[in-house]
Amino acid sequence: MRILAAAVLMLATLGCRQARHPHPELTVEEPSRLKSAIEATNPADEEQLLEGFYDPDPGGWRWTGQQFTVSLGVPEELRGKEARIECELWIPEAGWTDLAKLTMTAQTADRTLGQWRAAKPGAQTAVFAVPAALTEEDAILVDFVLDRSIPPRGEETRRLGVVATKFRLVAAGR
Amino acid sequence: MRRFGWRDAWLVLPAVALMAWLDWHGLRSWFHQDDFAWLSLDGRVHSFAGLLDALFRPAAQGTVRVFSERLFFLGLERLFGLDHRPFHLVVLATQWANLVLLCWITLRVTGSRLAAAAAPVFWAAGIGLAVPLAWLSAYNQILCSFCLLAAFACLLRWLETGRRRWLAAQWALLVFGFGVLEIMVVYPALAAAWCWLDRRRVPRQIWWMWGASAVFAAAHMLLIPKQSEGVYARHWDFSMLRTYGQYWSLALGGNLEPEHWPLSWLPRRAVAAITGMAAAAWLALAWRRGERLAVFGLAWFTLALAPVLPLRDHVSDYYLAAPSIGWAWVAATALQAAWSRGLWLKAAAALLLALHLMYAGAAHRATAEWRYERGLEARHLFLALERAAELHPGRLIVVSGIDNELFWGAFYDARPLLQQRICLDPRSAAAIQAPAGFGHTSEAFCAPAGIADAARGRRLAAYRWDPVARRLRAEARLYRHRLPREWLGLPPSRIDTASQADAGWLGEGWYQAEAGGRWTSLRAAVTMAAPDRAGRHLVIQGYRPLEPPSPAVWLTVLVDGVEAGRYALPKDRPDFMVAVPLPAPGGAAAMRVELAVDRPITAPGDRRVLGVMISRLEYR
Repeated sequence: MRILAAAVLMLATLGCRQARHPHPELTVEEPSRLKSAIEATNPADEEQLLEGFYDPDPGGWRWTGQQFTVSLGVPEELRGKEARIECELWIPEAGWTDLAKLTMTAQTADRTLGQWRAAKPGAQTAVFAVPAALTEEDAILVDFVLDRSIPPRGEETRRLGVVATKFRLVAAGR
Repeated sequence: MRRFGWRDAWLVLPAVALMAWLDWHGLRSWFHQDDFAWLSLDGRVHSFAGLLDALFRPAAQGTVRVFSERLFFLGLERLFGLDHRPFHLVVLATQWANLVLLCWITLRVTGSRLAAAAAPVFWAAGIGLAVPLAWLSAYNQILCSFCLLAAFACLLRWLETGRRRWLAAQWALLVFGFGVLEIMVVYPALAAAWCWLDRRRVPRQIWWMWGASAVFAAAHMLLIPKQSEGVYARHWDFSMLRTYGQYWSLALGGNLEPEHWPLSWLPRRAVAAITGMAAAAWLALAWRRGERLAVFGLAWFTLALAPVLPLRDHVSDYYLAAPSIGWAWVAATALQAAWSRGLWLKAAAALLLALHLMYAGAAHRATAEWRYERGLEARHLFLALERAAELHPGRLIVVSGIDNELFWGAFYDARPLLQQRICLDPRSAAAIQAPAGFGHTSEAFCAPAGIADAARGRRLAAYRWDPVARRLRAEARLYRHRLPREWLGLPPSRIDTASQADAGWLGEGWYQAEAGGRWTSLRAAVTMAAPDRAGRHLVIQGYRPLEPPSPAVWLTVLVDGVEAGRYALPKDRPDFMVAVPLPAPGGAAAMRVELAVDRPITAPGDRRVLGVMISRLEYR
């Protein structure tokens, strides 16, 4: 009986509904402001490389797949104005046999921004015009689609696109 | 009969220690599966009638387990909220009481300290207790074991002393047990079996208990609908014998997959077969020698299992919780008998039972840990969803990346506990399989039209579950980017009648927008997106001032010209909400909903013919 009484007493002292604690660590929120210029190998820009990027290689470059998507912030001064997206990339000599005359298409959810064709291997910049209608919001998401890729070969099991380095959203006339 | 004194308390310690080791994780499991459904009961209790409904309305395959489920969850949730620890403390306290009772009974009947210490160990190691000690919704098994053991202890005292209070205590436990778990109906059979084994006659007072059990069983079968299909369908045929064999195999050899067998060369079924044959030999000997507890152990196992034997397609390890007490007596008495013989017999019995303990214990621990992991995953998902709701009040939260196991382990039942509408991306429906006979899971999935509404109205929040990091990752931008374009062209699945944005979907029969909604005339029409899947309901929220006593006002809802429902508006309050079942999708993108009221209401100075004020129509 005494044991029962003690147990009831203990339960009664515990019997206060605990306040709920928030758990901010259990959700990873999107950055409220996106950068308009990002680097593919900069960990701080990781959240804007949405899909289609492999983990950075030890050599400091980062391969894409045949399709990849990035988000870029639209700065206040570009809102509602025509702009352009610059994509700096690198095509290695060794991959040129597979990627020769590669065509890259940039598109948003419901329109194509344009196409760019690689004329040679090495470092280069693909530029795509962005109409004013697409810069009205605070961010723009762009899918890049390649018409060719390097198939898995030997020890390399990935299907590779290009080595992406930088993406920028800049004013059209710059 | 040997009395159980304080000096004998140590006899329980091996079982308590074993339980601590086997159930270390299980006893810390967070809520999962049905736990959420029971936890959400509290939200339904706003009045005395609501309390009665929460306590007695049949749920979960037509059961009414008032004490072990309803009051257990309602009471502790009200006191401690979503803190699982007090729940587990209650489970643990009950199980300790069970071990003491088992020890007490065994010592009293056999007079052997060895048997008294061994019986709780065999029971604690069994697979049957793993789930009830880890999953709070299965507390009914622990509490029912308590009722059965306590009633049996009272029976022993009653037979010994003849005092009526022990008989009264049995009755009290029997009636209480009916509100704990249905298998309590077998208690009179257990009591009769013991009386016959002990005295070769069954007292009249025990037969009266059969009457009580018969009444309970009849009421349960007649008043509560039973499933005729699916895993809970009952099969009263020879398959019950096979099911009985399956339970013996589970009890003796556990349920581990080959890669987890303690001895990789020795299959679990072989362990079950060897132990089973040895047990059968011992039982035959025990019968000849009049070893009552051993024979009674077999009767207990069989009778306590009998109510679930017709569930051919739902063989569950936790149904062995109470029946395994019978096996514990068989094993403990066998050990006791062997111990008084030569070295070889001692060694053989010890080896066999050690083999059984190894396999049963390994299965027990693996099951408990699996439950712990499920609980951990459920906890992370639930708290993450709660956080998402906190961050996005008023928004539609769409979640992707939930697999079938997590859907049933947490997502489906946890939704009512969240303050906000959270649903799965409809494209993930293919990954979710509803158990046979379950019905629709539609409410758990967002409708494409609803997602499009929210995206257009900037009320959309989207998350993807990351199963490795056990976190929700926000992906609203990408989700909107990937939304199928055809969804964006759908009519809305939610219409706020006062909103100018939705006004274009209203047809004839509506007056000007006012604060909080829009009046209809006697008949009004609206175009909405057609339901995307079967099982959707159209929820209509509205208002009509109360009138002096008069017959009820009827609201009729037609979908594409066919009556979908007719509802009497409440006579005790002006606001109302009705949920109209919608027909299965027929391929059309839109549906025409018509609302018709059977008589108008007039307001002084207002010459309009008014029907009802509607604030929102939305399908879920």
